[in-house]
Formats: sequence, C-alpha cells, structure tokens
Amino acid sequence: MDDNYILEIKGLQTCFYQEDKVYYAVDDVSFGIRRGEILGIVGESGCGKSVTALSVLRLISGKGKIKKGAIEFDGCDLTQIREEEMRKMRGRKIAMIFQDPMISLSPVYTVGAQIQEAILAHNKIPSKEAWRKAVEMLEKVGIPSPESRAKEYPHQMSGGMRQRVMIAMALSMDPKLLIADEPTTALDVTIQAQILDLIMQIRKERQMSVMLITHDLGVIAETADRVVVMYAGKVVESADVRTLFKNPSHPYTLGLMNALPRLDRECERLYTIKGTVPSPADLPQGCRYAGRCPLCEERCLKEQPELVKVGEDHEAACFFSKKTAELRRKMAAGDIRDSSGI
Amino acid sequence: MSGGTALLEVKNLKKYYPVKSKLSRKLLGQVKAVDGISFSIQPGEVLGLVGESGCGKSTAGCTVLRLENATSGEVWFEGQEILSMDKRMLKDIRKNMQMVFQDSYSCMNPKMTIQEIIREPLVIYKMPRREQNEKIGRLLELVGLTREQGGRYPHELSGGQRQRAGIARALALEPKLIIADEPVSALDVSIQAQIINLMADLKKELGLGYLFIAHDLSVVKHISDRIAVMYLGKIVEQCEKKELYASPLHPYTVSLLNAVPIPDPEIKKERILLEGDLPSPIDPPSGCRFHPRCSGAKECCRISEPQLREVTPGHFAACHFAGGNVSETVSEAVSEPGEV
Repeated sequence: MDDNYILEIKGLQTCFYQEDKVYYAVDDVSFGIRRGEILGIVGESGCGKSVTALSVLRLISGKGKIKKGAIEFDGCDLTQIREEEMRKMRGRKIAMIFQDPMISLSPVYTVGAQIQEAILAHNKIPSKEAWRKAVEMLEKVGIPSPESRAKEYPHQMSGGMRQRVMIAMALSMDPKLLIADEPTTALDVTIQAQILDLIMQIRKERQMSVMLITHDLGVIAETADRVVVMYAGKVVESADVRTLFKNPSHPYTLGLMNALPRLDRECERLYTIKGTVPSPADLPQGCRYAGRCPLCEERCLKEQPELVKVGEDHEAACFFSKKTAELRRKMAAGDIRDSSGI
Repeated sequence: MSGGTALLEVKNLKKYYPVKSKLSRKLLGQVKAVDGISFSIQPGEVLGLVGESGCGKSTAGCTVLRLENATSGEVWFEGQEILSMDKRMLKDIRKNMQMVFQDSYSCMNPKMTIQEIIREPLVIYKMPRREQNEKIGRLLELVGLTREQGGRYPHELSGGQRQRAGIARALALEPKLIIADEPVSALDVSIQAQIINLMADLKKELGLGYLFIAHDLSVVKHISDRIAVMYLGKIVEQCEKKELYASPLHPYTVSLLNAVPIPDPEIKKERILLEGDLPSPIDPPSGCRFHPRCSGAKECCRISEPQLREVTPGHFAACHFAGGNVSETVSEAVSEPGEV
C-alpha cells in the first residue's frame, strides 16, 4: 500500500437485498484519500456516495452487505477485521458527521454529556476530566461560553451550533480521518460558510484527512483538494479540483457544471441533462450515463467503460473523454442547450 | 415600473404570531414573522424573495394568498384589495393566483392519481366534465409529462416529475400569478435545471408573474427580474437583479452573496464570515435588526431603525450608511456616531 494514502478503497461493491432481488448501490468503486487532504465526493442523490462512506465504517447492516472489495485504512483491511476491532476504529481513528445533527444527537441528554460519553467510551479517564475535555472541544469549534452551552440540550441550539457540537464530538478522539456526509446541506449559506471554514481550519491544525460528501459543486470548488464524481454507483471521474473544473473529461461532470445557475456568470438558459438517474433495480448493460449522454454511441450501450487515466492525476470512465473538450467548447459558445445529442 | 395597475401590490404587510404561556395562556410575546413589508409585481414579472430560514419569506407568500390571515397591511391584486374581501369574492380572485410548494410529495393526496390531482381545481371551479379531460391532457403536455404518467400516483413519480405535476396543478386555472415557495430546493442539480427552465418557458409563453421564494441566491439570480432580500421579517434591500449582484448596498446582502460558494476553484475570494446566528424574531435587536452581526455597525444603528429608502434610482436599501451617504433620520437622531 502506498504510504501517502490514509485510506484506499479497492473494487468496493455494496449491495442491498430486497425481496429476492439484489440492488448494487456501490459497484466496483476504487479511490484513495491522501494524508492531510480533503477529498470531495460529489454526485446526485442515489449515486452511492453515502453508502460508500457507510461501507468504510462498516455501518451497512440489515439488508445491506459489503460483497466485494478491500478498504485499506492505515495498513489494515477494514473489511477483514473483527467487529470488536472495528468498534475501536470508529470514533477513535475514523469519525463521521452527518447531514442532520438533530437526528444524530440524543434529545434527552445535554450536549456536554454526549461528548463526555464519547470520550469515556474510548478512554479510561475520570468523568470530570472527560467533561473538561468536552468543554474544551466545544470551545475549539467556536461555541461561545462553552461551559454553559455544554449544559444545554440539542433543541436549545441552532442548526449551525448543533453541527459544531457534532464536529466537537468527532474531533474529541483526534481521528485521522473525518468523514463528513453533507455536513452543511441543512444549513443556511452564511452558516455553511462558517462550518466549512471550521472544517478547513481543523484540517490545517491537525493534518487530518477529510472525506467531504456533498452534492454542491460550489462547496467542492472552495474546500476540496481532489474530487471524485460518482454516478449511479460508479466513479465516473476523479481529479484534483483545479483540473476537474478546468478540464472535465466525463460528459456527466460537464453536464452537472453547466446545469448550475451561477452567481459569477450570466446565462440565458440553463443546460439540462435529459431524463433521470437510472434506478438501481434496472441498470443499463453498458455505460450507466449512456441514456442521458450527448456523446453516446453504439459501443456505450454494450460495454461498460473502465476508469482510465486521461491526464496527470486525472481519471475518467468514458470511451470518448477526448470529445468532451469539444463538447465543452460548444456548450460555452451556447450551441448546445441540452443533452439530446450533437 | 410605472403605468397601469400592478399585478400584485403589497403594502406594509404584517403577520405576528402570538406566543402564549402553556399553562395560563397568558400572552408572552409575539413572533414578528413578517413585519411591515411592501413590494409589487408587474404582469409577467418575476420578483425573487430571498433570505435565510426564519426570515419570514414563506410566511409572506402564504399571507399574500390569505392562506394565513395577515395581522395588518394591504394586498392588492389587479386593483382589488384581498385581505378585506369576503369568502366568495376571494374564491373568484384566487384562481388567478396559485401556489407551487417545495415538497411536492406532502402537498399531494397520495390516494389520488396525478390526473385527479390536477382535475380538482377544475372541479372546484366547475369546468364541464368533457373539457376537463382535454384540459388535463394539455397541462400534462405543457409541463412535459406523458398521459401515462398522469395516470400514476405521486409516489410512483420521481421528485422532478412530481414537481412538474405540482406546476401543472397550479396552472390548471390559468392564473396570472404563481407564488412558488422554494420550488427547486429539494431537487438534484440536473433536475433543478429542468424545472427552472420549465418555469422560465411558462413565464414567457403564458405571461405569468412569479413571486419566487428561495434561499439559493444563484437560483434566484437566474430566474428573477427584480429581487427583494429579507432579514428577520423586513425587506432590507430591493432592486433590479443585475444591480443587486453588481452593487449590493446593504451589508447583509453583501455577506449573503459572499457566502455563496462559487463552483470555480480559480476564484479565491476574500471570505466575509458573518458571525453568530439569526436572532430570535420574538425579541429582535433594537434599532437596525442586523446590527449585532454587522461589521460596520455604529452607535446609531443600535438606536434608530433604518427605513427602506431609495439610495440610487430604483435601488432601495434599509441601512443608515448605504451608498456612502448617511440617511437623514440618523443625522437628526445622532449628531456624532461613534463605534459600538
């Protein structure tokens, strides 16, 4: 394993069983997170980004199962270790924050007590010391008057404050990897800016790696170092953030970027990607984007494109990734308005 | 903007909710959700109403339609005052103003098919049965749904398709004004673009006016002609779209625009982080409601409340210091403004 990477996912396949049918939520996904970097995972709902994150922590239960693949974290394969060892990993080495802190936090305990509990679960220290640490963590994430705030219940706090509490809890164990699943989606833009700023500041201070899952390309552009774009359970493109935005090589990435209304640009009409994401129950045989792709040809309907190198630190899963540049120029000139073909 | 009657004119609209003690039912205070807002919409115009959650933008939309009873103020629709109207007249006028909601699933009866849902307003307004079917067919086509999809139940459609059905229902009575409350915020980017384009097309084809309520400034920028920014129940800035994004005058608008992430890593902007959260609307700050979070706040901002004034032609802002010139109320109230 490359020592630059804190986490490497290789050929991960996670599926869900329902009424004798198998749905592949994540299908043959591979990528890595380097030490100290923020890796953004972007995609629309149902693309498998959250299931990937949950697979890393082995939180897929019930009808779901990790079917294939390896998840190598700091030299050990998380899919192979025993449940007890996995429990020690969660929280201590890999922490996770979620979209809605109100669901993650217990409504009947004060936030201080919940952070204290997390600390005590992993350390044998007196509870008073754990409480002190909890207050200290709250202060670190920018909660004013942390002593009195620690005695409050989640409902007494605003959405932004609750997310700060979640971050404080996640950081209390000093994890090496923080997985943030849509951490700012439920927040207003001004509060979102505060939380993203906090995550970036913490990363800098602690040299922590962050896996930032979001659907917002704006958030990605402003915070991530590298980006993985997912579509219908597959990685379709990965690159460092500047390359991705300058030279998107998968038609889906390009379509997504052009479908966004922008503050910094004028455009008469938004580009539209026709149709909808294919259902996981009914995935096409060939490229999963073929039905919506303006570059689609015979071959795309039959074969699944592999992720191939298209440039320095840049991979795309498209047979015609070279043609995407031409498509981009045409879109920029306003010649193409939707994905119905050139 | 002058000449002819406005499609919708809202004057000093207020909506207060009482906060009562759970035990004694004693009045503890009031949530001033909407606190004296005024705006107008011309036929075929799109007014974007933006603000963060809790600023009162949705309440404003509901109160305009009389889905909520206003505390005071006036709402004029094509020269007729709505808030004082009796029920029969209101029913007549309501078919001209329809609403599209954020969550298309919760605003549809799960036991009805899409066709039946679209048919309901036609039945209420007594359209002959024969014409109804034809009308429904045309509406489905207009919003880009097939006949077959019209026969399905809401849960059988995707979010985008359901929102299209919601728009078809709103259009059934051929309204002149659509109040759209966060119509695209629950949708994915690729679907969001489809719905925004659909709404823009319908505006052009049918000459609709929109009150477009949203929190996403990029979306509002794309679709609106004019924009009003709300903060804690008040409009703090209002002007033409281009003007607002090119030269915002209110410090809140400036920080709101700054907080929107730009999908371009080459642009490294100077972040203006707004501190703290939205204050409680039960007990809003004295003077200017934005002063505790404003970096340029002076003594006078704490004392006197700035009124919405025309700083440059057609550009209104409620800030004592907007546009470099101090408003008259301030120079009267405080002779020497000092730092807070």
